[in-house]
Amino acid sequence: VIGMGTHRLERGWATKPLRGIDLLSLRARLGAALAAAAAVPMLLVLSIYATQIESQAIDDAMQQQYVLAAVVAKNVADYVRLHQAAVAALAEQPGLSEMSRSSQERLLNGLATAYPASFNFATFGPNGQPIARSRGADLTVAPAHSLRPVGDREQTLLATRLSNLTGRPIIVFGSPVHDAAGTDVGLVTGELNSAELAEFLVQASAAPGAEIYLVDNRGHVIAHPDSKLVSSLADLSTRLPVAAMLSDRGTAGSLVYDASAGQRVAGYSKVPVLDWGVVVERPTEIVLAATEVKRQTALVALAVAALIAAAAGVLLAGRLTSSLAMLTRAAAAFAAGNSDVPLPRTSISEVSQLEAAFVQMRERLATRTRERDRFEDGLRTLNADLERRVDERTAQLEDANRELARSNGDLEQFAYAASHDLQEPLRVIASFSELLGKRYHGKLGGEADEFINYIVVGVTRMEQLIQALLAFARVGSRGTAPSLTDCGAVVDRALENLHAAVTESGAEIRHEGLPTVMADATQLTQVFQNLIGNAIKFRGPEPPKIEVGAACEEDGWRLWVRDDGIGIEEQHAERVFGIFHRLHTKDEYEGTGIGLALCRKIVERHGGRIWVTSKPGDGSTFSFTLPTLPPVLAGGAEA
Amino acid sequence: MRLAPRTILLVDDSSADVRLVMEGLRHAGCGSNVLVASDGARALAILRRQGEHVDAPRPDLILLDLNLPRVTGWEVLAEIKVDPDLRLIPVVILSTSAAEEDVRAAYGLHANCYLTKPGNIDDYFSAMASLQQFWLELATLPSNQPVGAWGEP
Repeated sequence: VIGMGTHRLERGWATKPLRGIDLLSLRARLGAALAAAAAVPMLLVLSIYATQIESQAIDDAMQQQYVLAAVVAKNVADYVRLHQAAVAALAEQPGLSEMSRSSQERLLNGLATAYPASFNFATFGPNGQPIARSRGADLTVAPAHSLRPVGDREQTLLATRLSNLTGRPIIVFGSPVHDAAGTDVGLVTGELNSAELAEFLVQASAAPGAEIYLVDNRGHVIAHPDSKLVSSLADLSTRLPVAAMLSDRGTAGSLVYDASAGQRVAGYSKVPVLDWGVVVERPTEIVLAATEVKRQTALVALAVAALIAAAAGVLLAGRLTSSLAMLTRAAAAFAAGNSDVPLPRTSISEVSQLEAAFVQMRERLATRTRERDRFEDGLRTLNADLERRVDERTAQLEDANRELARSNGDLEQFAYAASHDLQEPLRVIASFSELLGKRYHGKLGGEADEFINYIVVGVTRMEQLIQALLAFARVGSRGTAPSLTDCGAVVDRALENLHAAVTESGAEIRHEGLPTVMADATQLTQVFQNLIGNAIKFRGPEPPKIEVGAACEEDGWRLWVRDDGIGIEEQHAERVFGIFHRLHTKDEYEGTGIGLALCRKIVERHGGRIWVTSKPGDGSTFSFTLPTLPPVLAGGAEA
Repeated sequence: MRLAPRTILLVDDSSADVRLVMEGLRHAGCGSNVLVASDGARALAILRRQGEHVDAPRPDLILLDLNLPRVTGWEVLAEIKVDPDLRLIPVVILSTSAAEEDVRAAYGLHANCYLTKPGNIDDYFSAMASLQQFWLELATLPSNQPVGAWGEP
């Protein structure tokens, strides 16, 4: 089964549909269908016809046989009647009963020799005693008891019996002898050998296989081709045609019956007057032998017709499938991308419709494919262009990034240089101007002291600015990675650093509910230190009240430092975060103007933003946001 | 008891700074002999008594600026501290930088002390005075005689 399956797979009719003899192909199927279409009705007709000719043949045979039987019966009857008449005529011979025994014997012998057949005569006395007989006569005793009246001739008697001499049946006729007064004075008999009758049967049995026989009124065989049956006077009364004939009120008939040797057709006819019967039997197969030949001829004709139909079917299918195969090749070629394969010329309207549909489909598909190809080309070009532009842009961005990294690096370099190289000469200037001031104070005149002081102040200020710039530049590069940071602790550390300012100002600083966040603790300390420091620095006349708080909002933590200080005008709210931006003179408030810029840079580095809301005189609230912790860390932080 | 005058090697390329250190030490009443090297190469030559410095005395204390031309203060420090003999001499770093990484790097190279030069002259003099008092008076320093010279008459 597996082998067959594999075989079928290998054949792959879908891929090689029209090669070789494929039993699944349209060609084979159509051939078979046409052959079947031709053969089946013919077979049907043939079988009906055969049945009909068979029954016709049987009917004919029946007819023929009983006619034959009737003819034979009539001949037998005529023949018998002839001999019967002879016996009757003898019985009426005047003066027979008065004749001497020897005279009678001479008369009887003379009569017997006048008949060509074996026919013998005998005479008996009134008590049945034998008187005379011709030579060859069988009877020695008058067969009065076995004689029976026959037909309308009441004087004629008939009997059948076996001859004592030959052992074969003889037919005995009897006629009474009357004297002049009409008294029954004796009996004349005639004995006819049945072999004479058998001659009639032999002459009649021209039909092949026919069995013709003669039975008496009891169904006993009188004449039959089989001598054994005849010599035993066999009782055939149980044989169906004999029984039918004996029970038949009519004179002739026919029937079909099943004997032990097979079916037989029988025709029978009664022998007129004698109540005997002639039967003609034939086996059905012999009767039908002729029709069998006819049927075989018809079968051959049928086979030829079916073959012609199949061939026609195959041819037709070939024509049909050749155009289909061409169409298939065209479709396959089209599937492979070739749309110029020629199409079949066909007169089959379905195929031409299919072809038309295929052509339409092919053209539409080809058009569609061309459009799509064009579109894809366009798309590809567009993509390539886009990719090129993206690449260019990426390259530009990478350049820019490198440039930015380099410039950031430069800034770091600058900051480092500033710490060493710029500060160095400044410190020298500061040191020596101070030394000058210290050592020559009052010796160079009042103006010199003043100038020296300006130099010292200026240099000191510049040192502060450079330090601030350095701190600002270092936010990005010198920060540490964010870690879990408790804002409360951070604010505490900032307050420690601001201890002097807090004490001096008498500030009241509250903080509570501050979260744990991911942050660079040092930088966050710096943010709080700057904001609280500013709150103290820009305080009002009263000791400042400063509140540090936090709230968890949608985009993360919002932390704030709220004071009751001098506040900021709204138009400056954004500018205060600019580097070196100051709202006050150095004389009013010290400072470099870097603090809030630093705060902003740190907050932004942490992914947050910083802003201020303020009203001059009412204080300011500096707020900034920090991302909330991921849930896992938040749980750990609370524990 | 007053010890023999100490010898200090001051390594600084800035004559102003050299002058400031000298002023500071003098202000602190230091009587030490100060050798000055204006760059790292010269400092190492003096320490190793190379070339014209064959007769240079072995310093008891080195004051080292980190920002030097050519051979930097870092290199000088590293050279001194890998030399089994020279590394016995305490090295005090005098730097304008207060940067944490500089401080850590210097101590990492086994500097003995790191001083940030104060910007203010009073603080500067005060620092010099402290330095003079601690390193030249209070601290016990190894003898500047070679080890093998001990015990000789």
